[in-house]
Amino acid sequence: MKLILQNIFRFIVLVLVQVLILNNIKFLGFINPYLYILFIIILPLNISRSFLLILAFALGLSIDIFSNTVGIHAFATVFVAFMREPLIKLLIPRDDNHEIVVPSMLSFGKSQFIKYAILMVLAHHIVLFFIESFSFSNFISFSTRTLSSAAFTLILLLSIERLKMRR
Amino acid sequence: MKTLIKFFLTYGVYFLFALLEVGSLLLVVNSNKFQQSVFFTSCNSVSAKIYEANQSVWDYFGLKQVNQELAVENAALKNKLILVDNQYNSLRVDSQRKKSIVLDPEKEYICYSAKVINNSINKLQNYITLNRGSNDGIKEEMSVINSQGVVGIVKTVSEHFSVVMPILNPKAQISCKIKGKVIAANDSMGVIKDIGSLKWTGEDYRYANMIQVPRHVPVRKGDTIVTSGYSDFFPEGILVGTVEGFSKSSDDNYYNIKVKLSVNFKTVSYVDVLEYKHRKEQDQLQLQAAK
Repeated sequence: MKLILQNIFRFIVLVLVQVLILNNIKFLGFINPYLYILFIIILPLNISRSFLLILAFALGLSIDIFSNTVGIHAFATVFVAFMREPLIKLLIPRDDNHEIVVPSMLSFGKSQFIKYAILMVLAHHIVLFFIESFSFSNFISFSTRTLSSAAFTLILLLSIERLKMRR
Repeated sequence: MKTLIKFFLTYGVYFLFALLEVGSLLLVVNSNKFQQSVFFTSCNSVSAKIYEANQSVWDYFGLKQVNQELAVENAALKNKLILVDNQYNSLRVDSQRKKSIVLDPEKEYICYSAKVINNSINKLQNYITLNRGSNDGIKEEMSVINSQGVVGIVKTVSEHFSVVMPILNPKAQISCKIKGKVIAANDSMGVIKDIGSLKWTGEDYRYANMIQVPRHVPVRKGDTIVTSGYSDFFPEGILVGTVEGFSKSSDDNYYNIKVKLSVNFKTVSYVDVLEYKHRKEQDQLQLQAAK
């Protein structure tokens, strides 16, 4: 029960932080961190995969509605939510898998969690920016935008996780 | 039937995934249509309310700048009022030909209008001839401007004609100052950055160079150049041009600033010759002090 309330609260806070603060950063003109993906990354592992997809769709669509980019975030978020389980299976040995409920630096171990976060954020940003531009025609601009924003998101995400671990 | 249910239970996730992805792709592809529908954009009342509340918070942070802008605008308007007032008063008194205008509230100038009857722009030393001379009150070393900005200085005067040495003459050096970008139109405030003198390079009639500006001055493209009022010829704050570009020469500590002149010398046809009323007094006083 506590976990559910916590996640509802996290959903709302992340959407608000994303649309009210992070979307206004526009650092250097093109860097825009998308921290809201943190919600998918640290969602408990014991929820059903279908429910995870629906949650991801809802999250993406809420971001979309606020930033007037219908469908883009929804697509990227659903994609990342879908590949979460295979990714975790790949990173974490199968026998440890059942004990972990919530992904975090403590439960995964630091290096595994960082790997997991990097892959998730990168996948999300690549899909997001690709859908946004719908082409690879301007590949250099595409990749700089993607990588710089992903780096920014990762810095925010990992520092938040780090703070949680200390507490 | 059993197998079908079993199939959906096992692979339902993939169907859901495909469904959601196709759904969001449809949203993206049809985004123009959905942009018009209120529900999917920030026009809908929930997100609009949240944005409104957010904006009312951010508004407070902008107040300082808004205040500053208002103060600058206020000052500019006040200055304008003084100018207009003075002009009005002097116009009432003076005759038709001689209108005394006040450009600087402290220094009074009389303005004679004149027509350009001869003009050159493509020589190394250019001169402009005017159809007014000493009979009309023109004297040597008066300043010449037009509505666009500074034109030059009266060099020699005959009874009916006078010759002006425009900025397009390397002998004419005019003391100028660099002002930051003007915020409100026609405001005489702006931040004064530095003072230097303007000299024509003899190449292009549209550009002149500003020299003696030290390197530490934060010059920017688009800054305005106005007269400084330090030389006796020109009243303060008359437009000369805008900064077009600048380079640092390697051998000394000064900028070389390229100035786009505001006056189009090719088409200059009517000019105003300014007489500084208290010139003699000022000159005498300065001489006395130097003794």
